[in-house]
Amino acid sequence: MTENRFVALPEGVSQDQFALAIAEFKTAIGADNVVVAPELIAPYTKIMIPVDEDKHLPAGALMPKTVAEVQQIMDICNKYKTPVWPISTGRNFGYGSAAPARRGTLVLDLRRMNQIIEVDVELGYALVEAGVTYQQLADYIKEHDLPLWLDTPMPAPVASPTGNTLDRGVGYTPYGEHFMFQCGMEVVLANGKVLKTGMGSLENSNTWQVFKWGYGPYLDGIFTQSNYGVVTKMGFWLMPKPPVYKPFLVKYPKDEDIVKAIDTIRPLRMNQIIANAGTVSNALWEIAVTHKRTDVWDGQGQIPDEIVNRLAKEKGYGAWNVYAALYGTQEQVDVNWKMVKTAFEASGGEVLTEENMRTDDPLWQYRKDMMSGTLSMFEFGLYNWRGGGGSTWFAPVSQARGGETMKQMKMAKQITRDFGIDYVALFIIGWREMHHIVDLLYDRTNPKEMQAAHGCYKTLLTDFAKQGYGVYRANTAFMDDVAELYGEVKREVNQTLKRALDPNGIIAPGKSGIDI
Amino acid sequence: MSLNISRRYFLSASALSAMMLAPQLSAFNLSRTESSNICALIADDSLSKMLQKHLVRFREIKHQELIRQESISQAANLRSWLRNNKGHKILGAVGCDFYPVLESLVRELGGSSLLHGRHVVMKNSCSRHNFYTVPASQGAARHFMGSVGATNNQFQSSEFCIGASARIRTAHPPPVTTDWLETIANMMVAVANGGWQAGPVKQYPATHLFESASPTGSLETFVFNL
Repeated sequence: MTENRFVALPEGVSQDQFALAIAEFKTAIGADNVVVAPELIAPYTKIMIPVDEDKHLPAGALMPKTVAEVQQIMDICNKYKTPVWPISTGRNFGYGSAAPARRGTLVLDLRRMNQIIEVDVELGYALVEAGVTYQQLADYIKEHDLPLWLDTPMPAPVASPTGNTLDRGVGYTPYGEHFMFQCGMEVVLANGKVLKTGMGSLENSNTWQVFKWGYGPYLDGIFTQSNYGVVTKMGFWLMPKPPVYKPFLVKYPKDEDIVKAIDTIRPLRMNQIIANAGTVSNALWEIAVTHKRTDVWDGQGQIPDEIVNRLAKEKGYGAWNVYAALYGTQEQVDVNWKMVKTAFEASGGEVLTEENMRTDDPLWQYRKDMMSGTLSMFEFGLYNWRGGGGSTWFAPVSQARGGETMKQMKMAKQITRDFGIDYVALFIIGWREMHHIVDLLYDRTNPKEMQAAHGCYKTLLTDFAKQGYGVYRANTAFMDDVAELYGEVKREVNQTLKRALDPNGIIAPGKSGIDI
Repeated sequence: MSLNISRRYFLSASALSAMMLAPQLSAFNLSRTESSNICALIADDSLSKMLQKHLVRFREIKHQELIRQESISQAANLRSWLRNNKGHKILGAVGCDFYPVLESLVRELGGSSLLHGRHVVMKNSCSRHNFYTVPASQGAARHFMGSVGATNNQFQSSEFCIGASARIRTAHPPPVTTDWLETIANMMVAVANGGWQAGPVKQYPATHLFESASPTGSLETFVFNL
C-alpha cells in the first residue's frame, strides 16, 4: 500500500476512503480541528517505550469540542471504518504516551473538552470534561480558595484526572487509588448514543457524583483500560483538606529489609492508621531522580550493588525508603503517630519527620508535595539518569507481604541485570497489595539498548506470569502480550463485549489487547 | 514582544549579554530575516549551554530564554511562556526530563514539531544522533553527517521522517563544521527560518567504537512552530 497522501492509514482502509472520511470530519468539527499534516502529527508520535515510532504512527488527529461532535465522529468512523484512539491529554509517558496501539489509527484528542463543570465543596467532588488537566483543577481550587485537595500522579501539571483514572493510575494521598474515588461517567458509545453511568441515567438526578453504583450491573469498570466507549465527562471525589498533615520517612539500611518494611506497613495500612498510598523506593530510585548515571558510575551493564550501597551511604539514603503520611486532627495524628513510630522503630527503621529533614532536600520536598496532592514533576529527573529518552514501566502487583515483595524484588533485579538495565524501583502502598513499579530506563539512540529494554520487559512479563504475577497496566507495545497472559476466557469475554458495543471496531483497536 | 513569565524561573540576562557580544551570523548565509519570529529556549545544563554558544551568534533569533532545572514542576510557567510566544518558531535544547513535557505542551497549544534531535555523547567522544523529522526538515541525518564528516566513524546517526517524500533531489553539500553542536545550531536555525534544503532520509549505523563506550551526556534539540 502506498501512503503518500497520508502519513499512515488504518488497516484495510484505502487512501480514497480515508480522504472521504477526513473531508467529513472537517465538515463535522471544523477543518482546523482535523490534523493530517506531518508536522502537526509529529507531537503525537513520540514514545518512550522500546519500539520504533513507526509501529504506533497515527494517521492524524481529531479535536472535538462537544459531545455532539464526538457523536458525529463516531458516525463517520462507522461509515468509513476509520478507528480513533481517544486521549484526554495523552501524557501516559512510560505506558505509550499519546500514540495509538495500532498504526494508522486517528488520535481522538479531547483536550478542547476542557470545562470544569462543577466542584462541590460540601460534598467534595468534581465533574469535569475529559480534557481538563490537574493543573486547571489546582488553579481552580486555589483561585476559589477551596478547602479541598487533589490527588495527582507524577506528570500531574500536564496530565488529566480522566485519562489517569481511565488507565487506573494512582496518586499518593488517601485518595490515591483513582478509580476507587471515581463517581459517574458520561460515555459516547460507538453507535453515537450517550450513556451516563451510575445515578446519571436517572432523570433529574442530583446523586450522580455521590453514589457510585446506580442500579443494576455496575458499568464504569468496563470503560477503564478498555475500548468500549469514549468517556467525555467524569466525576470524582476530592479529599477535604485535613487540619494536620504529617509526612514522614523511614529508612531501612539493607535490601532484605523490604520484608520488615512491608510487614510493618501492612497492618497500619489495612487499619487506616496510614491512610495514604505512600511509597517504598529503593536507593537507586533516590539516586536516579537526582543524578545522571555517568556522574556516579560509567561502567557497562547494571550498576553494581556495591556502588549503589556506597552512594546511598554517602547521600544518606536507605536501601529502602518508606514515604507515607498521617492526616486528620491534631489529636488523631498524635495518637496514630505514636503507633506508627513505635512500629517502624521496632522493625529497625530510622524514622524521620519534617523536623529532621533539611528544608532544601528535594527528595523529601517532592514526596511531601505528592502526598498532599501538590503538583510536582520532579520525578522526571529519572529520565536524565540514563539519557536518550527511553523509559518503560513494568508494573506487577504484589501481595502486601514482605516475603512476596522480596521475591519480586529478587526476580526483577536479576532479570534487569541479565539485560544490563538498572533496577530503579518503588512499591506503591495499596490496601492489601503493592504496585511494584520498575522504571526500565534506557537510551533510545542506542539500538542495542532498545533491544535490551524490549527483551527485558518481555522476560519480566513472562517470568513474573510463571509465578502468578501480573501487571496492573501495560504500555501500548505489549498490550496483546499482557492480555494473552490473563487467559483465553477473559479475552473472549472482552471480545464479546467489544463486538456488542463496537461492532466495527472503531474505538481504540488493540487497547488492552481487545479487538473485534 | 514582552515576556509575561516569572523571571524567577526563566532567567535570560546572561544569554542576552552573550548575544550582544558575539559576532552575529545568518544560518546558511541566508539574507537577514527582518521580521524574525524565532525564539530560543535553553536549559541550564552544560551541553545545552554549549549549544547556546553557537545559537547566540544568529541574528535570526529574536531572544533567548534559559530554563533552570528546578523549574520542571513549574509547567504552568512554561505553558504561559509558550502561549505568549504563539506565532513564533521556538528552537533550543533541553534535557531528557524536560523534553517530553515541552513537546506535550506544544501539542496542547496546537503547535507543530519541525525537527527533534536526540543526542548522546560518549566517553570516547563518539556521539549518537537520532533525528525525528517532517518534510520541512527531511534529510537531517544525511545533512548532519555531511557536515561533521560522513566518513567520521565517531558519529552514529539515524532519521525517522514522518511523511517523507521519496522524490527529493540531492541537496547542496552542507557547510563543514568542526563541532557537531555548531552543525545542530545551523540546522535548527535553517529549519526555523525556512532555509532548509530537504534531502533523502539515510541511516548511519554505529561502528565498533560505540561498543564499549559509556554515555557522558545527552541532549534533546528541537524546532517547534507555535
